[in-house]
Amino acid sequence: VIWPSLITNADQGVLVSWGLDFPAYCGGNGVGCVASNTQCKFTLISGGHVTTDKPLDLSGRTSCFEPSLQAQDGSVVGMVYPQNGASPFMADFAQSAKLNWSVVGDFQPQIATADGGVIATNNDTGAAITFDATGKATGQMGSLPTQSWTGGAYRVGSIDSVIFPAISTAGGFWALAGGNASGTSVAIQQVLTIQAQQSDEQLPCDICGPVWGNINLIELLTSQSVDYIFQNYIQTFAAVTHNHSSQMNFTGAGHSPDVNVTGTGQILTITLSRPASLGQGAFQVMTERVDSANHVISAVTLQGHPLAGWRYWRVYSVGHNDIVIETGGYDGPGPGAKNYVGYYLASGEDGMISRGWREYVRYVQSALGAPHGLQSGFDLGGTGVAIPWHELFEGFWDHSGLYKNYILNNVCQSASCN
Amino acid sequence: MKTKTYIAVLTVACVTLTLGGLACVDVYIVRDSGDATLLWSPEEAYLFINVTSRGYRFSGLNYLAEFVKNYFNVSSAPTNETNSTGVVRVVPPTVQHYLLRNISFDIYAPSDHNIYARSRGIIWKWTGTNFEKATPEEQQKLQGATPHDFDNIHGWSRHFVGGPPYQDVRMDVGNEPVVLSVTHNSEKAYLSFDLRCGTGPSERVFYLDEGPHRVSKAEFRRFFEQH
Repeated sequence: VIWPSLITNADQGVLVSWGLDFPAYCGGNGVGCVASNTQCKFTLISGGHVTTDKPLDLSGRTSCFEPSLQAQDGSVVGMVYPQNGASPFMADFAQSAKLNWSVVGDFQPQIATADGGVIATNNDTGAAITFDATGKATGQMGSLPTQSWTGGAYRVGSIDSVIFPAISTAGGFWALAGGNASGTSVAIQQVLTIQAQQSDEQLPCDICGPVWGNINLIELLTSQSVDYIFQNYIQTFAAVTHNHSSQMNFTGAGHSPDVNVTGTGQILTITLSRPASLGQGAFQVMTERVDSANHVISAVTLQGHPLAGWRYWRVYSVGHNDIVIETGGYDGPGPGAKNYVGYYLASGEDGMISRGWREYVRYVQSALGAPHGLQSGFDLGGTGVAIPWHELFEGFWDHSGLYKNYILNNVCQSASCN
Repeated sequence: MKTKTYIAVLTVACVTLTLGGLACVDVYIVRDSGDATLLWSPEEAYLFINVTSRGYRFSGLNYLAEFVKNYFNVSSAPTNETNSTGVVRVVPPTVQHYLLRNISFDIYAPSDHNIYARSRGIIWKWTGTNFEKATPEEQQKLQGATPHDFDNIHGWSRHFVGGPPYQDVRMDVGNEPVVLSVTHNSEKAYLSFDLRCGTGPSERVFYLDEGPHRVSKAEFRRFFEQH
C-alpha cells in the first residue's frame, strides 16, 4: 500500500487517497510476465465504515493524488506528481472519484474559496493564483497573504496588516491547507462563510435609544420611464458608486466598483469619506426587498454598521413625464457609545445622513438633466398632511414616528420588518 | 498662593490665545479619489480614469473637530468639488496620455468605430485627443448603453477597474499580450495603474495619491479656479 493521504470530509468522516502498488512478476518458467501496476483509490470512511471505495480517474497517469483542500461543493483539490517525469498538475476530484478539472503546473493549493474556486501558490514563482470552480485562472497576487484565524489576511513581518480583504473560505472543515490558519492538521470550520447572513443583521432597538425615520426625495420632469430610471440609477446605485458622492461610496461583491442589485440577500459595502483622516471605515448592508414591478429596493444594516435599521430607494410616477426619486430610512445608532454619539452628530437635516441622500437624489437629477417638478408638497402615507417639497429634498426627519409605517411598508411591505 | 494664581491666569491666557488663534486660522485640505474604466478591442485599449477632487476649508478649530467627527464616522461636506478625466490610449508599443479638466463620465461605449461617453445625461464622442458633444442622432442612439461590464461585443470589452485592492486585467491588443495591473490601497490611500505590453518592462501609466493634502489658501483657490 502506498501514498495514503487523509483529510476530513466535511463533518461526515474522512477521505483517504491511497494506492496499491503491484510490482512486475513473471511465472516460474520465465513466461507470462506481468508489468508493474499502480491502482489509485479514493475511499470515504464514515462512522468507522467504508462508504465509498473507488479507483481514481487517473487513466494514463503514473502517480496518485495528494489531497490538500476540500472545495465548497465537497470535491477535493490536491496535486499529482507523476513519476515518469511528466509535469505535475493540480486536480479537483469529485467524491465519486471523477476528475472535475486539472491544471498543469507545480502548485500548492492553499485556500478553498466560498465561490467554489481555489487559491494556489505557484512553487516556481511564489505568486498566488485564484482559480474558479472550473479550474480557470481568474486572477493573481504577488504572494499569498497569510490567512488569520479570524478570517482576515495579512503579511508576516509587515505593518500593512489589513490591506488585504478577508477571503471567504469554503464551508467545509478543510478549506485551508493544513486544515486551519496555522497549518497544524487540525480540521476547523471557518465560521465567516457559513454564518447565516440573517444573524448578521443589525436591527434597531426601540427602547435603547433614538430610532427615527428620515426621507429625502426629488420630483423631476423627465421623459425617461420609471423602468429606465430604476434599472440605470436605483439598481446600480449610480449616485453613490465610483466616488460620485462626497459622503459615501458603495461597492458590490468582491470590491466591484460596479453595483447591480438584482435580488435579495446581496451584500453592499459602504465606505464613508473622511476628509481629514487616512483610511476609511467600511461596513455593509444586505438587500431585503428588490421589487422591479413597484421599482423599490430596500436593505437592512449588518453588524458593524454605525446605524441599525433599514433604508429603501424607489422611483414612481406622479403624472405624465413627472416622476419622484425617493429614499427613506428607519434607523437608530448601532451598538456602543461611539455609534450613539455618531448618530446624534449625523442626524438632522444638516447632518451627514440627510446630506448624503440629498446628494443621491440630486445626482439622479443631474444625470438625467431633468428640471425640478412643480408640486409644492407631498402627502406621504396618506396622513392628510403635505410635507413641503423643499423639506423632503433637504431631508425630512420624523421624530414622532408618524411615518414609521410608511417607511417600513416601503422596506418590507409590512409595519414590522426583520 | 500667588504662584498658583499666576499659573492659573497664565494657563487660561494660553488656552484662550490658542483657541483664538485656531479660530482665526483657516486650514485648506484637498482630497482626490479615483476609479477607472478599461475599454479594449484587438486593435487598441483605452483606460479612462475619473478623478474627483474635493476641497475642504476649515477653521483651525473645525479642523481639529473634524478628526473627532471622523472617529464617530461623521464628516463635513466639501466646500469645493471638481472632476477630471485621464485618458491612456494603448496601441502597442505606444502609450498616449491625455488629461481633460472639469468633466467626468459615467459610461463609456464603443459604437461604429467611435468611442462615446456619457456625462450628466449628455453623450460625448472621442475625437482622438478630446471629447466633443455627439450629434442628436448619436445622443438618441447611445442613451440606452449598458452601465455594466461586457466582454467581446463586436470585438470590444469593457471592465470597471480600481475596486479590488489588487487586480490584473489581461488583454490581447495589437497582437500582443497586454497586462494592466491595478493597485487600490485604501490604507495607504493611493491608486496606481501599471501596464506591461508583450515581454517589455512594466510601465506606470497613472498614480493618484488619495490621501488628504494640506495646501495653502492660494494653492486651494488656484486649484479649484483652474478647474
